[in-house]
Amino acid sequence: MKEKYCFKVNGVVCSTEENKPLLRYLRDDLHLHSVKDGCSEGACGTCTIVVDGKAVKSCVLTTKLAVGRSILTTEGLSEEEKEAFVYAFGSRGSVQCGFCIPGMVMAGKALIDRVPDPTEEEIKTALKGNICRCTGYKKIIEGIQLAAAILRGDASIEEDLEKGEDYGVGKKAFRLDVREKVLGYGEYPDDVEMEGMVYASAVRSRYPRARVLDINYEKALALPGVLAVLTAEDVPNNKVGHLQQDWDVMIAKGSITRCVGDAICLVVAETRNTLEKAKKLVKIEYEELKPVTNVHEAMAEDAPKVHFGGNLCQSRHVTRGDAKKALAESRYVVTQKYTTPFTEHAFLEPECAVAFPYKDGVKVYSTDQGVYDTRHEISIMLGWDPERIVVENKLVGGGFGGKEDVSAQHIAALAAIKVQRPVKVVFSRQESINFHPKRHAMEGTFTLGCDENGIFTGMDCEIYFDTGAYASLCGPVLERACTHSVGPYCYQNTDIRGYGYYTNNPPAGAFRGFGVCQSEFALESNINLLAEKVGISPWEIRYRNAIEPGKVLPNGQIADCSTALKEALLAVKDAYESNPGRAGIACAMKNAGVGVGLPDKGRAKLIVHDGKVELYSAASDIGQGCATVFVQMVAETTGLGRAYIKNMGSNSEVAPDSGTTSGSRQTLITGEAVRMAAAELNAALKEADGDLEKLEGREFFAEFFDPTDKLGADVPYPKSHVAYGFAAHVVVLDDEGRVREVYAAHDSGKVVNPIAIQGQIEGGVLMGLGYALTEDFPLKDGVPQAKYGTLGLMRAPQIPDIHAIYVEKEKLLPFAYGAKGIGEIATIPTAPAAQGAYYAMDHVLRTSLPMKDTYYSKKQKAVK
Amino acid sequence: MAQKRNRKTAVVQCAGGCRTGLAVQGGKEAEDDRMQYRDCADAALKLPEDLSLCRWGCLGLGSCVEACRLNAVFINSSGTAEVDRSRCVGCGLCVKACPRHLIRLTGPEYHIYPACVSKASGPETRKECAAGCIACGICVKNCPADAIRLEENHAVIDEEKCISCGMCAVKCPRGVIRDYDGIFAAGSSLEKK
Repeated sequence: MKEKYCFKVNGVVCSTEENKPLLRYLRDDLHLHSVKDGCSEGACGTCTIVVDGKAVKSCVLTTKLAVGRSILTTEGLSEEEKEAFVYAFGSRGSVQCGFCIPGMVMAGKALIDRVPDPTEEEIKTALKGNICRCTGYKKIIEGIQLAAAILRGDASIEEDLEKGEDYGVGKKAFRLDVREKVLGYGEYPDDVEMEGMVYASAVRSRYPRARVLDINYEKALALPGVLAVLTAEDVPNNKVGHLQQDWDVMIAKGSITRCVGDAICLVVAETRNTLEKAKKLVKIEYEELKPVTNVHEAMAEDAPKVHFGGNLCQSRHVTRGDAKKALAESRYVVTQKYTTPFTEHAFLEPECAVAFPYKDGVKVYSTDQGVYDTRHEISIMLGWDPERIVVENKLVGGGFGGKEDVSAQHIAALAAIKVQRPVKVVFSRQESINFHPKRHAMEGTFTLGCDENGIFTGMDCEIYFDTGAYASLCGPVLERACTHSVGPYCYQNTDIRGYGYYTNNPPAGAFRGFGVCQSEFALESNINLLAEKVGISPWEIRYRNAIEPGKVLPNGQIADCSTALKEALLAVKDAYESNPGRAGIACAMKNAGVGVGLPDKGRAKLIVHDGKVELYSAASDIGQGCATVFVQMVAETTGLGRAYIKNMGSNSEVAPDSGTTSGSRQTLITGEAVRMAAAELNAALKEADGDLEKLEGREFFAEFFDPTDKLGADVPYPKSHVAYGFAAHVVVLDDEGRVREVYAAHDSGKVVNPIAIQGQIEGGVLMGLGYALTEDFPLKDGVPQAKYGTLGLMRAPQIPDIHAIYVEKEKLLPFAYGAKGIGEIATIPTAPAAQGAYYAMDHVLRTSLPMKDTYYSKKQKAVK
Repeated sequence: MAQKRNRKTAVVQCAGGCRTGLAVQGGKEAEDDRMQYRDCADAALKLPEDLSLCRWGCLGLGSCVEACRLNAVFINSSGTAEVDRSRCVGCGLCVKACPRHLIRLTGPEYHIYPACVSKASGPETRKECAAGCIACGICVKNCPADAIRLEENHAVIDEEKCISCGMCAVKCPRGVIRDYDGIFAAGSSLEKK
């Protein structure tokens, strides 16, 4: 008889004969989906459970090692604990994408059981093994502290907060998704189980650049339980791509691979285990070729062509006034070269999709940033009418720009159509790292001039982006890097040239900040050098040049009435000036809405059904909280409470297209569409004497579009974007050179949800600090060298004290109650502010990221 | 409140595998030989080279046991010093008492530790000790945080990088890497000799 492994799970005795990671047993056999699979490597902590009182990663522990143990998952918490954590995490804003949350809850639970009144330090230590990429940890720490206080009886639950009768704009809104995310019953695609569901996974290239000579999959196909092996020949149209269709679904026999993330064939099998076995049986013969590993190699005349049309993927020339003349006449000029690395989004939830035959086509459960984008890409691949494809977002475990391109969705759809069964495709963590587009690595030379008073005169720069194997969003990202390289100041002479080159590195595309993190790092560093020449402080030079309402931005747009950069600068002035020799400062601007003449529309439909208002708008909530924001907009407009408003999610079959979650646009663009629809509903409601039931079945649709001018438009003051957010950050170091504090002052217009915006700012700042100090994405001949655990993501014990400050002007924009969006800008000024702080401390100009010779780089090196 | 806040704990970096081996081979004589030494320091100085005891491991004469004022250190059934964590307060007296520098203090969050500091080559250790690190590098390969390196033929965990996930303890083919919480791998025998 086989050995049996017995243990208790949530109080129930369980046993299995299979020795496997406990994570797999809990998810696959017991269907305890609160236990999330973020990496299966022990690095991320999303699968944290409590074993005999200790927080343990269930992907590391095995069923065999668990024998005799008592295991607890979120599902097994007591009612009292569940309510304490739901309320604590909701009221403190601990929940964003939610994928790390059940793990955080269990790590917190183990700590609280041991130490009922944990200190901040103790909580940080307890969370050492749990990564959160959204919140910056601060809100989670506060959440655990409050949960502990509730469980001790020192604090109580205010039930009204979750009920949300007062849920309008500016109110402390308890996010809609707190409960399902804290308790782990909310569904991400990987939690979907369907009758007859099978699994598919791609065999990907071993080399970044190699000719595929042969694909031998007969043995794999012969394995019992293998349903199909698909190659490029099985794809109706083998090219997909978010904007440019240059991305091969699979590399065909005889063709050349472009990066290690390239799929060569797709195996479909009954079970995960069979799938893994079958993948190993596929033998691919390659002719290895020398890869193009950086922009210099890509530019060389004799460089191998990564794509048919050559290696230059995109270029932009943005110019206004006469930069050359202005710089020649400037009192002071600095020229400096800067380099920044690729950065991995490292969202906690790896790519996953479940597709199944549906009506006359296919339906896909997806985790992405725009269901209509995904539908569009799949329709291109299949050559189908888009309506035959339905895409619905499940919960999205973080995106940050990395889930704009299709990854698992299209291959899941392809497989589902082939085998006519539901198919799940879930990426392994390494597959995710190797496949999806990163933040572009940049090399750039920036020249900035000013007069004797430090007033900027002109700017010239040349930006080189490594866009890797595929274009992804290279065009718009490069364009934003160019248009925002000028900073939020007032000067009129600019000459900006940007080039994006294909290489055989993993692709680069959208990432929170969208090109601006790179170019503003360079610009803001140059500003410090100019301040030094002029003999004024880095704060002063920024204040003197700061944009204000009515003045003209370097791109020609007249700053609108809501512009509050000066207020943001004033808000951090004391923090900056009271820390001489250890503080750095930087500003940033970031567009809200994609702008530049594109038809950037927000759409929303409200339907009164069963006495409630159903909100339909296909706008992906990737954790930032826009789904809650929209409900707040309806609540504000109609006076209805949260209980009467239901967000129906992002589903291309029933919700109108409201664009991609990108460019910090959802709060403003979709938010305004929702407000408009809600205003119509409210008018009808008034006519009906406030009786919602009288409106049963009525629909209210609105579309919002505020036209912008395209880049280089021949008008005196082109309006590039609907709105801009502004920010000023101050980074303060301690004696050892560790970041002690960050002050982040933001003008993002009207604050819609004061709980959520803090988490957005803190999380953005921590991401920016990682970019500045610890995160890297080393490549060796085009092959990523990092694992999830070695990306350099900041962990809880490393975080500084982050002060999120928001400034609001009296006069705001007439859209979405004056909200402008916060998504991206929080990440932008932190890196240059940190660089400025080190420059203030030791006067060494660090021109590359992550910065060398810091407290952090020394600690990291010590290990190697 | 039964709390243990930030208290350091001593860990012994030896699991006593060579002596387990000796006992099997009828190593009574060696045991008797040892008894002629005053304490560990004396033994460390005078112990003949050819005695088939590991030159790096625990001598088992209990200098650390003597040093501990809280009866937290004892010699376990494999003849090796071991720490009873419920008693240890992390004062460090045992650390000072060990002539072979086998005991170190660590925080409760670093419950995963390699219990061997042998500098002998892999094959040598494999021959001589049932529980010694053979420097195979499996832990290095499986560590998600790149926190482990091989140093002088044994695994060393860098606590600056370690996230105590336990992967190394689970993967170690020799059971060298221990978990003093006893979940991912054996923590201790806790059997007094």
